Amino acid sequence: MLGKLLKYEFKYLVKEFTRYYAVYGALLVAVILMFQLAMLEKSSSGGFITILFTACLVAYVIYTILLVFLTIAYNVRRFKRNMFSQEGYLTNTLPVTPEQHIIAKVIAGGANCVVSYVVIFFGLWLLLAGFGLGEDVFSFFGDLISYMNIRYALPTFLAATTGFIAVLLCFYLAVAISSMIGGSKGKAILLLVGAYIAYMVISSMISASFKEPKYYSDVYSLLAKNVYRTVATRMYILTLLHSAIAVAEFCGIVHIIKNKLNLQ
Amino acid sequence: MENEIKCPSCGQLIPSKSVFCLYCGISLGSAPTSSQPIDVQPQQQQEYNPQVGTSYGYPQQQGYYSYANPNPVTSDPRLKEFQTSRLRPGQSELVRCSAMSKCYGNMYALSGLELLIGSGKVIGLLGPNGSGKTTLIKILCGLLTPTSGSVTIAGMNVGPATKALVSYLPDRTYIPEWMTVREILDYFSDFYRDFRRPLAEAMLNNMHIGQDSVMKKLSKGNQEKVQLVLVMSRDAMLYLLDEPIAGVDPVARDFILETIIRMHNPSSSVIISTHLITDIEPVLNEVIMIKYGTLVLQGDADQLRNTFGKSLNDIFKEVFAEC
Repeated sequence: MLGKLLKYEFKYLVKEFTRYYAVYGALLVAVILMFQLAMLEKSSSGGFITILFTACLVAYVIYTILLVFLTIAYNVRRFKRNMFSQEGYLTNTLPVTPEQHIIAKVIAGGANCVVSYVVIFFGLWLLLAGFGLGEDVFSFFGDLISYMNIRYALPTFLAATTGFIAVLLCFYLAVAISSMIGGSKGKAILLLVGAYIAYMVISSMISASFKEPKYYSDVYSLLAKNVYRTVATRMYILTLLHSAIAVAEFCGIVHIIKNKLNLQ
Repeated sequence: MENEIKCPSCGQLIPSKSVFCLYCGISLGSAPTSSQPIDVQPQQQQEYNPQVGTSYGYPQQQGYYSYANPNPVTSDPRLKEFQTSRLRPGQSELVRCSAMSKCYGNMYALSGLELLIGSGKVIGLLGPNGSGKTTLIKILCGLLTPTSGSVTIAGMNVGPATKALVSYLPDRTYIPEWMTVREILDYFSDFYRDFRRPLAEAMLNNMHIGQDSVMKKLSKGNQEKVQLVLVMSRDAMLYLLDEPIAGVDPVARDFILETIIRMHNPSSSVIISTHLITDIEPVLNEVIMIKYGTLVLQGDADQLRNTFGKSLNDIFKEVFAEC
C-alpha cells in the first residue's frame, strides 16, 4: 500500500511542479540570453537590453526565492488538504494505516524538496556559467569535495537529512493540531510560524551547548584543523536528537489522525 | 367507496385525500385540506397481503390520513418489540455497537448506543437533523473514534481491514478536483481489491461522462453521480451512504435509488442515512430510527407497517414529533 500511496503522491507533485520548474527554466534562459545580448550591446549606444536583462535577473532572483519556500509550503498545504479537508473523506477511508500515509507524505515531500533545491542549485550554476564564472564555481566545489572525508561527510549528511525530516514533520504536526482544534486559517498560520520558531530556538540552544559554534560557520578552517572526529561525534549526536524529535512528531500526528480527526 | 381513488401506478384503491399511495409510495398531490379522517376504521393488526406483490405493500387503511392521530405509535405497547436491536432469522452479524458514545466537548452526539446490523438488507438510518446519523456513519467508516464503548464490523475493530470491507459515500464532494475520471478509476482500482472497474466504466458510459473529464469541470450533479458509481461499483460487505438524495432533483433521485438497488451485492448491507423518507421508503427492507444519539426503534420495514398500520413516514413523524 505504501508503494501505491507514493505513486499517487509523486504523480501529483510531478503534475504540479513541472510547470514551476518550466517557468524557472524559462527565466534562467531569458536571463542568460539577456546577459549575452547585453555584453554585445555594451559596445553600441543605448541600454534597452541592459534594462531588460536587469528586469529578468530581478524576476529570476525573486522566483528562485519563492520556489525555495513554495516547495515546503506546497507540501504542507497538500498534507492539510489531503488529510484534513474534503479530500480527507477519501484518504482516511482507504484501507491504509495513518503511519503509511505520513511516511508516504514525508518521503514524497522530502524528495520534492531535494529535487527543487537541486534544480535551483543547477540553475544557479548554469547562470554563473552563463556569466563566465562557471569554472570558478566548479573548481570551488571540486576543492571542497576533495577535502571531504567520509568520517565527516556521512554524519553531516545524516544530521542534515534527519533535521530536514524533523522540520517537515514539525510543519505537518502544526497542521494536524490546527485541524484538531478547528482553527481558522490565521490560527493555522500562527501555529506553523510558531512551530518553526520553536524548532529554530531549540536547535540554536543545542548548537550553543556544543561550546564551539565556530566549527559550524567556517568550513575551511574546520577542514584545515582536521577535527573530523570532534565534528563527526557532534553530528551523530545532532542526528540522534533530530531523529528523536522526528519520532515524537510522527507519533503525535498519528495520534491525532487516529483519535482526534476533525474533518471539515 | 366514493371517497376512494385508484392509484395511477399500482391500481390499488386509496383514500382520495392521500398525499401518496399507501401501496407503492408514489406521490399523488398536495396535502389534505381537512385533518378529519374519512371513514376511520378501528385499528386492527392485519396480515400482510402477498397479492400486493411488492416489499412495501401493506394492508389497506380505510380512509385514514390525519395528523390528529388517535393511536400514536409512541404510546403503542407494540413499540417495545422494536426498541431492542436484534438480528432477523438467517442474518449474519455485520455491525455491532456496544454502549457506544461519542461526545464533542459537553455535547453527546451518540449516547450508549446498542446496535446490531445484519447482512443482506437495505437499511434506512432515519432521524431528524442532529440525531447522530452522520456521526454513527463516520464511526463505522473510521473517520471518527467513539469516546467510549466499542464498535466492530464483521467481528473486527474498525481499522484498515474493515475499511477494505466498507464502501462510503459522504454527503459532499470528496474526490480531488484536479483528478480526471480515469485517474480516480485507477485510484480506486489500486486501493480497493473489490472494485469492479468494468461495471463502473459501463455506468459512466451510460451517463455520457467521459473518462478524460476533469472532476473540476463536471457539474455538481455529475460529480455526485461519479462518486455514487465509484462507491457502488465496489463489491463491499457494507455500503454507507450519507444523505445520497439530499439536494438533488427528482429524476436524479430515482437514478440514485435505482443505482443503489441494482449495483449492490445482495449479500451485503446498505445503510442509507436520510430524512427524506417518502422517497426512500419503497427501497427499504429495514429501518433504524435514532433520536438524540440513542436507538428509538429498529425493525423490518414490512413488519413495522403491518404492526402499526402506517407508512414509515407517518411512524417517523410520530416518533420525532417532539423534535
